[in-house]
Order: sequence, then structure tokens, then C-alpha cells
Amino acid sequence: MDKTLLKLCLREVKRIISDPRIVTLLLCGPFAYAFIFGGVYWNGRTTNVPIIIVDQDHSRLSRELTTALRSSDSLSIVGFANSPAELPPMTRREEAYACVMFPLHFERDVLAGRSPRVAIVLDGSNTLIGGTALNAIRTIVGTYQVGVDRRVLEATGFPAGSVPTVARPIIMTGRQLFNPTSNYSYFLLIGLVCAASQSVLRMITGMSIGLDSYKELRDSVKTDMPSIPWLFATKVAGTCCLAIPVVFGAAASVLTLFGMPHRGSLPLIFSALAVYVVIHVCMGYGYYGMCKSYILSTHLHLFMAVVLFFLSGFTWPYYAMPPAVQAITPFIPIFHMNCIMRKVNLVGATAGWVLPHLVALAVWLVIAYAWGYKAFKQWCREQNLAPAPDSQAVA
Amino acid sequence: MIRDILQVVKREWQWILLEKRYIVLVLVGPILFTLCLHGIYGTKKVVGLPVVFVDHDHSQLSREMSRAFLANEAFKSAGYINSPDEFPKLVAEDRAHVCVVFPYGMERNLKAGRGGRVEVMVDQSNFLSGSVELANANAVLTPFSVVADARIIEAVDGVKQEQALRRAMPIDVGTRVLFNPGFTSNYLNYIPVGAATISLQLAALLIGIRSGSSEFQERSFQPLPSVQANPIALVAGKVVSYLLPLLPIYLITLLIPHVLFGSPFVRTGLSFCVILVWFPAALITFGYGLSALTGDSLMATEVCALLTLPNFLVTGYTWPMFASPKAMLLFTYGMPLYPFAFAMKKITILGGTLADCINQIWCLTGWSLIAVLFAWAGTRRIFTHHPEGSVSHG
Repeated sequence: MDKTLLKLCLREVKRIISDPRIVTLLLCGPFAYAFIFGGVYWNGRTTNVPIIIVDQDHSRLSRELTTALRSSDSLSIVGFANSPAELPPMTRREEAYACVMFPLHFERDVLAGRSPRVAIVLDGSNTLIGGTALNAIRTIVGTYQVGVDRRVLEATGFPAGSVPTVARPIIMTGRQLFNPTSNYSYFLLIGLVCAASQSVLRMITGMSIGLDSYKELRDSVKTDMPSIPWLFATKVAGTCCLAIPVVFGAAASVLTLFGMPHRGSLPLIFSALAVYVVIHVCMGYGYYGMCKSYILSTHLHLFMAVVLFFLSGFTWPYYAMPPAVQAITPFIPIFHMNCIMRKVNLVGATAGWVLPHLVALAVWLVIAYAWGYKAFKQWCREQNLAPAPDSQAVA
Repeated sequence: MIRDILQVVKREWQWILLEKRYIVLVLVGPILFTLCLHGIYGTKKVVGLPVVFVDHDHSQLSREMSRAFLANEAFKSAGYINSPDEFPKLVAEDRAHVCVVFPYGMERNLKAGRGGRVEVMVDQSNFLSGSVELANANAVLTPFSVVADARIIEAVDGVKQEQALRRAMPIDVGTRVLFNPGFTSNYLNYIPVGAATISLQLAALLIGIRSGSSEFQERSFQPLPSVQANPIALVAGKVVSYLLPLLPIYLITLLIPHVLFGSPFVRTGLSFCVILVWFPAALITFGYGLSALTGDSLMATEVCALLTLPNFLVTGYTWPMFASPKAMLLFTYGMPLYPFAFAMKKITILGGTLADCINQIWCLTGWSLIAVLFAWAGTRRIFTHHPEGSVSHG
């Protein structure tokens, strides 16, 4: 009996490997995600936002500020304009996204202590671009603000040594924990690998069962045919034998090649990942049973991939979603996997800290296995009644 | 010609109506997808971030500052803790994402003119919430800083309060945000509009993905002999038959953010209509061509999956293209979603016209040429496979 189960398990592995369509998707999906996004987010933060300068003052101070803006690696001055009205067309042509304007009499007002104004006009249609530009400009202008503060106070008779303390009585020290450099790839990459794995695993499982037939399965076992629960277990085990190393490889490449920090326990991460793979393989069977066609189930997964990713709260935090949507997120496996990945990797959480997510994954494992088994049993029943391969019919 | 096209359209509609679940998925999918995104981003901005306080000072000022934090809608209280060391565990348990530390002697130091320090620890493991936390903490503490500045200048220098306030803030930075005035406080105007294009792209690709391959299996052109002599009518008929039901879906999906949720929709008119029709027509042609060329719906679906899965995040819609390594730009420009997502953004949010979408038009032209090439090769393959149109009709 043991040999029969092993044989069936190996048959599943062989079937997946020998079908170029399935193996391409399995190998390309998670790795492609890791490498494509690793490449896109390679710089880790937004740099060189193109901006324009409108200098109506033509003074020493405005030129000094322009030089300071030029030296920031977050910004790239692409030109000078006569008016901020020139920005919108430039934004539409993707030539500049912000405009810094020094009004007439800017330096004169500073020297007269009249609180001058620097105007920033920016494209708010992309928060990452606009936010980066705004922060960089504010930081640079802020340093001048302190300098001017200091000069004004010194001029009013303060001793030079005590001026900095007086100029800034409350200092806010922001400490960005867990991702101090605000590296975008640390934040996003591991979640994208989980999202890609989810879709790919469900798709290949649907294809695998859709292209199989009970007759072939029976012919491959010369001795006694195992019972349906054992058959299902061998199919899941066979698929997982291939899927687990692929998903582990993709996650490991994120941690090693793209330098994502991992402060927590690696065995914990990979154990959770293994459970996650089994869940999605079982769910692949469930979805196939629901759609009765591997093409339809593949298309369904394609549509659902992005929705589930957004719903998982990986980018837009789930605690900021409306309460009705918040109630849905705990019922999505990727939400728990992403929470475990982020908290263990970045925050350094222990198993105890992420216990609710681990329990949720365990519950999902039971549900997904039962759902997948039900679909597989149905498939066996249908195949017994009509033993011809269904691959052509469903296509 | 028109008659041939209409014959093909009729035949295609009869066929696709056989699989109703498929119609529901492809046609209702984009609308549900957009509604779902709006559900997710319904709060428009990140609010209610749980904040914990470590108050070592126990002074009037620290209590005032705590109250000021909680008066900001971005924060909600998650209680007081004894030490910042407890904060990481609270983050992992999702019980707190910001920690404000008032050090011992803060008020005393401030009164003595030695400057006070408030430490704000934010959970940056989520880039979005981390940025919001830091910006709002800054917004809460700046007025305290300015008032304290002014009080000290007033007390030490003997100047009037109004004058002291002005001296405390010499350079005023005025900000004007174009196109999305809500900016970081309104993500609803920004993400869902772009993300909706993902489902529209999928719908256009997948709706035609079986139309070519099915000709090798259960269908043939036996009842349409005139089509055999007119491959252009065949391609046009196939594209029209899928484009017609898809166009209202495109329109509804793109209008949902505007009509139901108040996202900006600056311009309609010719530019909008051109992109609205051009993109799905190109993708349906590509989907049909790919499907006919491979003769296998599964393989064609896989190619589409590889084209569409990584698509949105590399189009430059969220992560700007100029921040990516140069080698990745080729990848971005090569994605079919890039021209559609960007052109739609420029037209509907930035108020641009086709003249502002030169890059996108080039990319869309490239994809259209590829699509026509695929459709031509695929149609040729179909006719070679059924030289007399005599295979059984399913």
C-alpha cells in the first residue's frame, strides 16, 4: 500500500513536470514576481522627482535655495519656468511633477523680518511622487528657516550659543521602526511573492486535475486502487513536493538577493509558508470543482488575484478600511500569511505574537482540505461514470 | 463585407451565450472589482491608527500633547505603556502602530529654556501607514513648538506676541496640490481609478481568448462559406462581437469612481472615446490572435496570465517610472496596461488630451500592430486547418 501511495505521488510530480504549460507557470510565477518587482523597487525609495523652479526674485537667497534643492537626490531640477501655470501641461507630458516658486521681494522680506513665502505647486495624482517632492522641498526650506530664525534672534541681541535652543524648544524625534529607510521593496516585495504564489498554486492545481483522468490514474496503479481519501492525499502531496521548494526559493530570493531584513525566526516563516502552499493547492481543487473547467477556474483566479491582494491589507492597511471590509479580511488566507511574513520578518515577532494568524492558517488548512477533498470526490465520481479524458471537452 | 461581419458576430454571440458563467465572470467581473476597490478605500485616508503613550513626565504639557494627539482623527488611543520596549510586541499584535514618548523632565526643561524632546516611534513596516503616522505626529507637535518658540522670544526679547510668532516662522511654505486636492488625505481619487484598469484589461484579453482556439476543436466555418474568402471580415466580426458587449462595461467601470464616489473626472470628449475604444479593440484582437495561433485556450490564458499578473505595479502608476532602474523601463513600456492606465489618468484626472499622451499612443500603436500580426497569423492557421470549412459544426 505504501509503495502504491508513493507511486501515485511520484506520478503527480511527473505529470506536472512533463506538462510545459503547468511547469512554466509554476516556475515563472513566483520567481518572476520576485525578480521583476525586486528590479522595479531596486532603489528602495523614490528619487529624482523632476521639478521646475520659478524664480521671480532673482536674489542671492533664491539662488542659494535652488542650489540646495539641486543637491537633494530626491529631486531633479529639469528647468526654470516663468510661471507656475507652466506646470500642469508639463505634468501631463510627464516632464515635471512639482514647481517651487520664489516670489518677488523674497530676500527683501526675509531681511526685513516680514515672513516671506515659498510656494510649492505639485502633482497630487500620485501620492508617492507628490509626497516625496513635498517632503524633500519642505526639509530643505526648513533648514533655511532655522538659519533665518537664528539670524533674526542673533540680531535681536541673543548670545550666539543659546540661539539654537531657543529657536527650537520642542524637538520631535521621529523613529521609523522596522523599516528605518522607508524602503519600498522591504514593505511590498514579500507580500507580492505571497500573492503570486496564491494565484499560481490555484491555477496549476486546477490545470493538473482538469488534464487528468480517473482512467489514467487507475491504469497507473497495477495493484489495488487506494481509497479516494488516500488518492487525494497523494495528489496534494505530489503537487506540494514541487510547489513548496518553488515558493521557498522565491521567498528566499527576496530575503537574500534583494536584502529584505529578517529579524524573526526563519523556521517559523517557512513552516507557515509550507502550510500556506498546502492550503492553496487544496483550494485549487475546490475552485476546479466549483467551475468544472480548468479554463474558467484559471480565469477566475486571474480576476481574483488583485482583489485578494488589495483586500489582504498589504498596501492599504486593513485597520484603515471601512468596518464592513475589515470584517472580510480575516477570512482570506493571504491576509494571515502576509501578516506573519511582515511581522516576523520586519518586526521580529515570535510565534506567540502571531498566534492568532497561525491558528487562522491552521483552520484554513482544515477547511481547504475538506473543500478540495469534496471536489476531488465529485471528480472521481464523474470520471467513473464517464471515464474518457475531459481535457478536450472542457476546453 | 458588412454582411459577412454581421454573420460572424451572430455566430460568435450564439457560441458565447452557451457558457453563461463565463459571460458573468468577464462582464460583471470588472464592475465588481471596481466596487470592491472602492469598498477598501472607502475611508479615503488612513484614520484611527492606534497610538500608545509612554509618559515619563506626567506633566500638564505631556497631558495636553496626548489630548492633542487624540484630537487628530488619524489617531486613536490604545492606552499607556511603561516603556517603549513594549511597543514592538503591540505592533505585532496590531494593538498599536505609533508610540509617543514624553521623556522625564520635558516640561521642566522647556520652562528652563533648554528645549524639550518628544520621541515618536512609528511602525514603518507598512510604508503607507508609517508615512501618515509621521506626518500627523508632526502636524500635532508643530503648533506646540511654534507657540513655545513665540513664548520664549516674547519673554526673553520683550517683543509683542504677534511679532514673536512671526519671528518664530520666518519662511512660510505655501503648498498647492494640483489634480488631487485631497492628496495624501484622499487615496480614493488615486488608486482605485488606476486599479480598475487591471480588470478591464483582463476582461478584454480573456473574452477573446477562446474564440480562436475553439475553431480547432468544436467549431468550423461550414455555415459561413463567404467568410472563407474574406479573412478581414472574420477578424473584424470577431473583434466587433466582443467589443460591443465590452464597451458599456468599460464605460460603467470607468464612471463608477466618478458617479458613485466622487472621484475627479475632468475631461470626456474625443480623447476619452478614442482610448476607450482603441485599447479593448487592440487587446481583443491580440487575445483572438494568440488563441488562434496557439490553438490552445490554456496556453493562450497562460501567456495572458504572465502578461497581466505583474502588470499594474510595474506600469508606473504607483511606483514612478523615473525611480526604477533604466533597464526596467523597457519592461514597463512593453506592458499593455501602461498606455491605457496612463492615458486614462491623464485624460480623466489631469484633464489632458491625446496630444499629452504621445508615449502612450506609441505603445498602444505597437500593441495594435502586434495584435494585428497575431490575428493575421492565427486566421491563416485556422483556414489552413479547415481548408474547406468541412469540420463538424458544434
